[in-house]
Amino acid sequence: MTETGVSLLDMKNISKSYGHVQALQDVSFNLRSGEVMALLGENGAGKSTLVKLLSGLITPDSGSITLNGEPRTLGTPSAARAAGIAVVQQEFSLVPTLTIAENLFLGSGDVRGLWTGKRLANLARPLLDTVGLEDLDPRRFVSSLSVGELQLVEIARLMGRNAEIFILDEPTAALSDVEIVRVMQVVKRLTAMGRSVIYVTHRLGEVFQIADRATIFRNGRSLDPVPVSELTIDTLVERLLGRHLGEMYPPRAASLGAPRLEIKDLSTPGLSAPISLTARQGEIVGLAGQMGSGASSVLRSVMGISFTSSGTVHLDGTDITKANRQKAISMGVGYCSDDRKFDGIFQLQSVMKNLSSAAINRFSTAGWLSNSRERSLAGQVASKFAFDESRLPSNAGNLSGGNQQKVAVGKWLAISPKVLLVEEPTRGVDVGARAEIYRNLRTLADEGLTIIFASSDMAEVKGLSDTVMTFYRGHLIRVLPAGEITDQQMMLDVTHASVSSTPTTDAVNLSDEV
Amino acid sequence: MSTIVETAAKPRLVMSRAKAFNVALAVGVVVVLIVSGLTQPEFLSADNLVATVRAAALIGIAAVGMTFITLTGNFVSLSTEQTAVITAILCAMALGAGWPMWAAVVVPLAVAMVIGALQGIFVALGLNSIITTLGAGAAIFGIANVITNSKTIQARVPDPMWLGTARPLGIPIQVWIFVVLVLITMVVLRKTSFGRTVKMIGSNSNTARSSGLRITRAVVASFIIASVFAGICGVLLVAQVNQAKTLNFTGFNIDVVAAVLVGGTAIQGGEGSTLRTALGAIVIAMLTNYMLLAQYEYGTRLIITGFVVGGAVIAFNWVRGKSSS
Amino acid sequence: MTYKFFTPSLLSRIGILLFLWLAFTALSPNFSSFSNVYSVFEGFAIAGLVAAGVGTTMLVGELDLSVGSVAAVAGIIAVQCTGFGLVPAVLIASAVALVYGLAQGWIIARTGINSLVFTIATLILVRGVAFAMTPTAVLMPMDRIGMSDFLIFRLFIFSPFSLTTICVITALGLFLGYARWGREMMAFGGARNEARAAGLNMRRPIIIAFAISATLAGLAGSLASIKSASAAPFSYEGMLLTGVTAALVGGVSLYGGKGTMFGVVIGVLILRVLTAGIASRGAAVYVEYLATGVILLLVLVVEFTTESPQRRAWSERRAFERQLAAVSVPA
Repeated sequence: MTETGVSLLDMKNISKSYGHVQALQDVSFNLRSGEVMALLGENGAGKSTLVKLLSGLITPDSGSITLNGEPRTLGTPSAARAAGIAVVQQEFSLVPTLTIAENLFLGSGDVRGLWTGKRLANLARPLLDTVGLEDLDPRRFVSSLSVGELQLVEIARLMGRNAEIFILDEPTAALSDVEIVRVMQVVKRLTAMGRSVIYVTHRLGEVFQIADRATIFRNGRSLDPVPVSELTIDTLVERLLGRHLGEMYPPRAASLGAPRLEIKDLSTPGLSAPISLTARQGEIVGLAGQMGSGASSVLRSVMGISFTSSGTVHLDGTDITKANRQKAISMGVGYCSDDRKFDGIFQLQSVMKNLSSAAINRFSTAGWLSNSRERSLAGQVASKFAFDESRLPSNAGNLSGGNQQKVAVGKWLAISPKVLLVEEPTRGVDVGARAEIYRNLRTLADEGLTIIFASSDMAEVKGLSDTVMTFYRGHLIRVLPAGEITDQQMMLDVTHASVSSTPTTDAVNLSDEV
Repeated sequence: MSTIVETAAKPRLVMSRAKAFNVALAVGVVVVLIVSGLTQPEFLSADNLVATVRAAALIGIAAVGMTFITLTGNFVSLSTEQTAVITAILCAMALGAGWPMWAAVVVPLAVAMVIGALQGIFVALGLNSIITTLGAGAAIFGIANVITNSKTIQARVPDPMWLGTARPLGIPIQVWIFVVLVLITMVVLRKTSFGRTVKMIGSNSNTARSSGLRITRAVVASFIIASVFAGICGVLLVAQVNQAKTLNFTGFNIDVVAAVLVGGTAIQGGEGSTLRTALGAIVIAMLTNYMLLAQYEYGTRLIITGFVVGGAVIAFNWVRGKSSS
Repeated sequence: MTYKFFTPSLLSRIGILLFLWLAFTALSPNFSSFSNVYSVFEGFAIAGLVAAGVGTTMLVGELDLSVGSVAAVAGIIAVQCTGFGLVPAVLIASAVALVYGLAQGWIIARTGINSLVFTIATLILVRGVAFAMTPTAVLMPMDRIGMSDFLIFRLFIFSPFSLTTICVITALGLFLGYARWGREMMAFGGARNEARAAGLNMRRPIIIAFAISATLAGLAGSLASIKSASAAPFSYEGMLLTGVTAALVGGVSLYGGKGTMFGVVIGVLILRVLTAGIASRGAAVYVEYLATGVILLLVLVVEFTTESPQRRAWSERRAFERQLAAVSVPA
């Protein structure tokens, strides 16, 4: 066991760029043995790039990594594993159709000979005990576990590989209160055993409960690590914010029109309590919240993707609560998910066909396509969304991330939408394209379009919206005009740092506040 | 995230890809023509070429229909052979029972349509298309044997039918039908919203769903087209030989799939054309014809066909991997 | 939910098997005679090997369509090698199939080509090899006919052929259930992305699965050909249908990762009992075809309604609504 306080991992002057986007710039990061280091920062600040670097998925352009005093390169995932670095991902690496014990030893090559239930169970027992799963039968199938148990089994699996450094990437994003407590207990146990933990989170309250020090990332740069004891919520939020990209966002709407989309007492998976909201003509409503906050659930329910179990949705007075996707589209509602590669674009089709895909009936007569009408429709969309028309014939999959996103969002203009629902409008998009997307969305709103978007980027929500709604773990926390909400207030709402007590009491405090 | 330079350069390469496939196939046809012409001079005789295209016609018609299934991303149908068989049998029985020719053609094709629709509904619901069509094929083949008691059905038409033997402008009627169907399907795929939907579903069914495209309708329609085209093959055969039996189309499934694969339609769906499938069928027919003229054994012919199909699959996979990475 | 050998779905399949057996026995008492049970097991012997092989490729989320052609080639090799004796002949034929399967698996794993498509090409190619080896059926010399007699020698209700099948399937079942590589294959089939994240070798499961399916097809083809004392290049085309149907009936999931070899055995027996029963009622051979096709479609529908992603989404929805109801009642 190494002594607490000895520097275990030292990263100096790390830079990494993708194309012309600088993801990390001269970053330094330090981890001592036996400590929990909180890694904080807004989306796009460079946290995930650092995690990828440590897990060997990417290599830095420059800079040095020292592990236990020896310089290291972590070129491949297996090299990172061999160096004792283990990443507990948000998407797990557990196979649901196998038992817990089998999963613990899968891919390790440690257990030779027969994999009988008893033998594996005996081997698995001590590992499960170390993560506080004493009462879990190792012969149970992984498919029957809760999300929190999955997380702990995943940690147990990595313990079995003798990992020294555990990277927990937003471990509590999808957990219930009780499970959060269990995960935190295990984190403490890990450090007591001399292991080190890098704890990536958006929930500031957790930092004070669990972390020894905190490193904050901002715009691809790192601030010096600070002992948590020297921090308060306010100083932490101050450090997290502090970017002034005001010019990135266009001015807000001068005046708003009549109510367009009215949601009353909507209840759907992902929301812990029903919510209501009204969006007006020409208004941009920003739903701010981290993953699992319920912000995007609202959009999916309106679009008929996930079902609405109670409540009503009206578009210009027409009830569209029960409308499926096709109906919603024909009524003039567009929806763009947060994963453009999955269901936003047709990668192997031309940009023109992408842009016209949601509106085939608008350039066809009795089932016959009109090429000229399609071209002019796509041309209109392209010009409205500041898209280079010469790109129309190229394949969407070969565009940059920013241009793909413009295609995924812009294609909805072809249906002449009344309402546009967008999840994470600028995920994985470089700064230049971001500003362009914001400008385009605002122009559309000024022409009367109602836009509702969900985002975990606070600056984006505040900068782009007319009205801000903050979400935390399935609850709507606050609704305010964007001009009246402060950055601090928003950050507190979505990270819920205003509740300084233990997570188990969150629910109680919440109901008071809502 | 790619740089501006990258994005400007890549599209040109990709744009040429679809054309490159066509060119590659056309070059393949020409090369086979030249090589065979040099080694087997009678290969290039007009009679032989017409015979080759006629041999390609039946497989080609079914393959053109199956291309729709492949384009929607549902791989291939393994019930084509059996659909052709049952249509042929029904047609022969109807003719034998003295039905007028139009009825003896239309009713069996309607049955083929129902067969296709049922499979299409299953697949649109999410069932695996290969297994569905494998099972449907077995069931259809069983029914075909039950109704014929495994005997040959005589159509008993006194004169050979024009549908089997006519040669407008000296070209066999089967070839005319093949060409017309290829042209129609090309237009349908390029110029109708149905055709567009089919290709978009195959490109990315999730995006297609989120864009509000009518997936179920397009998939069912694709299976109907494939099934009816297989049925047309059955009817054409009866018209030609004036009888039908369950063993008429043995091995047809494989030939048809081979034509689609050699035509280079992306097996993941979304990309391909019925013209290319037709060319694929012609390439295979020419190859077979040449090998027959050169007196290759049946086994050798199959091995070479297998290599051509496998090579085409690997080559197209490689080309696509190159351009999409 | 802990690990159990006799899961409800397996028990229900055993129940179906027993029911079919009793039903056919009630219809014709002769059905349970030793000689008839023996013939059911003879049918099981060949179909079982193929179903186990095809089922293994299904377990890793792939499908080998070329088994029928491989069986034909192996049958010809085996019959031509009977001069070396029964066991060497079968081993040579199976070894050739094994090498072929390894190569096929390697290409599929290496290129990432959909196995359905690739094995269609090899299905043609290997069938061609069979015809190239012999355009017509080859007969075993009369003096070696004792080998055929040995394979069908009746031991109670079994024969050396069916016992071989039982041993091979048992070994395969143990491999998949208790060996590290076998468990890796199950993991790979059940959740490919998770398996990758766990650091699994992403090619080995595919290569092993196709090696197994080809070897078992080869074994089936060689044994069946020696048993009938002749091998024809056009035989065993229907093997794929029987194999896939039996594996599905036996509870192997088309979505991969789920199923056991014991289930496959039950599936094959259900199919054999059904076809034997239909035959005992005096129906023509081709009715079997019809029955197999209909069963395949039925199982597909059943599996779809219980297993598919759509069904899962639906049950999630139901669970959520129940949860909502539970919350709203006390309030």
